[in-house]
Amino acid sequence: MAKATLLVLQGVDQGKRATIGPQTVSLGRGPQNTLRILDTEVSRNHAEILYADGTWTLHDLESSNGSFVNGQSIRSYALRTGDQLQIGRTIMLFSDSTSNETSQIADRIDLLSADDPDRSQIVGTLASAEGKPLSRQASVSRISPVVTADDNLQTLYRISEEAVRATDSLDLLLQRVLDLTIDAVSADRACMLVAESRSDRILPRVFSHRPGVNPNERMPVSTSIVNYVIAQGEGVWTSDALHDSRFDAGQSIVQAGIREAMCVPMQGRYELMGVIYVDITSPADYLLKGGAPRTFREELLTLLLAIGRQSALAVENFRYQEALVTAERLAAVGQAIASLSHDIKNILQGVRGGSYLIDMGLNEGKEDLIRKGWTIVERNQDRIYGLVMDMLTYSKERQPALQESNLNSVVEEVSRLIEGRVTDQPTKVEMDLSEDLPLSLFDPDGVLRAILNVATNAIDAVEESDDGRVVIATRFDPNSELLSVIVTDNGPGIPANEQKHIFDLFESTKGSRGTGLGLAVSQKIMQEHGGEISVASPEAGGCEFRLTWPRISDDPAPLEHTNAPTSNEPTS
Amino acid sequence: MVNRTNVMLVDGLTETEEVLKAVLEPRGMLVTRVRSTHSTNPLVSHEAPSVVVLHESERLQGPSSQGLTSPAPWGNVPRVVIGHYHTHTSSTDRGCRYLSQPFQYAELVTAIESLLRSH
Repeated sequence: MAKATLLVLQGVDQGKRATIGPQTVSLGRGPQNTLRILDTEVSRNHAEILYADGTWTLHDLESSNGSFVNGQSIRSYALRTGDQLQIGRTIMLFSDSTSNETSQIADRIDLLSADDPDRSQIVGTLASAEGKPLSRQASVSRISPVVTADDNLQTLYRISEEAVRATDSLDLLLQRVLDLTIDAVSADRACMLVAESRSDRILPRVFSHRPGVNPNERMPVSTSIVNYVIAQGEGVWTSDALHDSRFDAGQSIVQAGIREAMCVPMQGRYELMGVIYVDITSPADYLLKGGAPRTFREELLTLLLAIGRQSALAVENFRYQEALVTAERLAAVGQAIASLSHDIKNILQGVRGGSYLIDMGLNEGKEDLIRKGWTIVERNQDRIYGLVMDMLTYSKERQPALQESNLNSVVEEVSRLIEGRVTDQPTKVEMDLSEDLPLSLFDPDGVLRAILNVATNAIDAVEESDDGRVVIATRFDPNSELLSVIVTDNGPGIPANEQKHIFDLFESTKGSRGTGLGLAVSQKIMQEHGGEISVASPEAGGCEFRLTWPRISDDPAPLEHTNAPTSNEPTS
Repeated sequence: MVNRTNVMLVDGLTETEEVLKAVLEPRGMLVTRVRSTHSTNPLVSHEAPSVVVLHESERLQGPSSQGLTSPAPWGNVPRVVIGHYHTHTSSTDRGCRYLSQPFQYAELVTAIESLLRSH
């Protein structure tokens, strides 16, 4: 089934991945879109992706700020794996995963054993000496050495570029390299056999062919040649027209129309990562009509060796990054478990305190102890509720449940919720609500949680003060269309060196009272709304947290582009 | 003026302060709480405590309560150390009790009373 992914590389939803199927996918700011992008530079109905005849096509829906692919303005564009779509300030990486199944690749390759009959033999070999100058090889060519050297450099440049391009799939990376290789060495078909990272097995991983080649015809790959290349670390050029004494009569390549083949090692920094195998055919009927046999040349083998080296380095780098991500993920999971255990233990400790007083009150018939104990139990019940909600909010990849809401009502609800926390302390909680706030589309539950976390921190910050004061203000800037909630307190403030870390997950300056989740959750909720949260704390003390996000309404006109790529003519 | 037995909490949960106040103050003791971050040496700025209850304040730093179980800056003041990781206190240090969180408050009250009796 047709399947593709869009990975957000830049923008509000950075890091998110959407899988799309053959159904039409609409992109835009409006709530009815399949992929909703909360970006003020995106139109309500901005663009759509249609799938037909194996091709995904991006169509701009006459958006105000336009759609871009790889930096070029487009009206309609047939997407290919690796393309980068820009809509508003959001950049997404397109990957077609329809034909990316390893099993499908294996079906297109015939791995021939030594027992299979074939007639090809090695015509030449070339050691994979690093840094062998391609220009020198070109100088012995019949073609202009300057032109060949330039072509080779262009090819290697393009392959290097592909090797470092953003991708989330090794197969897609290698596929792009192999597609370039086909052109560079004028081959009919090509495949890469890549060593599995956890075993010594080398398996077909990607396959490519030039237009015009029968896509249903399986590509024969001689295991004899592959084993020779692996064992010797040499590039090999074979032909079925010659004899090579290094192979026994039973060994070598296939008939099946192969005329010539080249196989080179993918030699990485530390180990062999696989081989590249390309072939070229001259059909019998073509030769009978007097056509000249199509052949490879030695400089092409040199070029293919260089491509093999680049590909191996790309595989190594990809696996290194993958290992790094896995290690970081495991470390993050360990840190999350440790931190949550710590928080749950603190809450359990609080519950035990309350239970102890209730038990004592019951035994001694003292109602005041029972009430005091029950207050502690209830408070910790709220804490565990807050912890669970923060965990859920942070862990979920989610779209905010947007609904037309009044920000002042949300702030009033926050104020009501924190009232209970300050009854035992002299802290004053004040609201400074703007009278000019327009209704706006936002997730009221999410925004409430974001403000509540910040306001709770402010209350904690002034806990020991005799004149603690927390003010929650709302503002709207009609010029920038930004909504703001400003929470200020007159507590001791946050030292400058701690300010840059306070939004990091599990960072807390509140000791045993903090979970290190609250501000990270507030920041995530703001980012989901296309906004941000900032802190300012002067040395003299006091603190100001500002939550700001763009007002979203049903108004179809987005803001004008301020940093769009240079507009060009449609490319397709 | 009669000096009351002073139980001083350093850091830790509000609940610990609330429980100890509810249990010990009716018995004539004084329960105070200070933050170690607010004062380099709480003993300087507060009434001399009879017992100190210390909470391990290091967050996720591993068994780091050695600094808390060491005598300085508490001198010979008996102390209860509440930590997140179990550590063995010296058997010769009779002025120190160790509780691993989560603990039962009855254990804490017993530890405080035991230290007050023996000092």
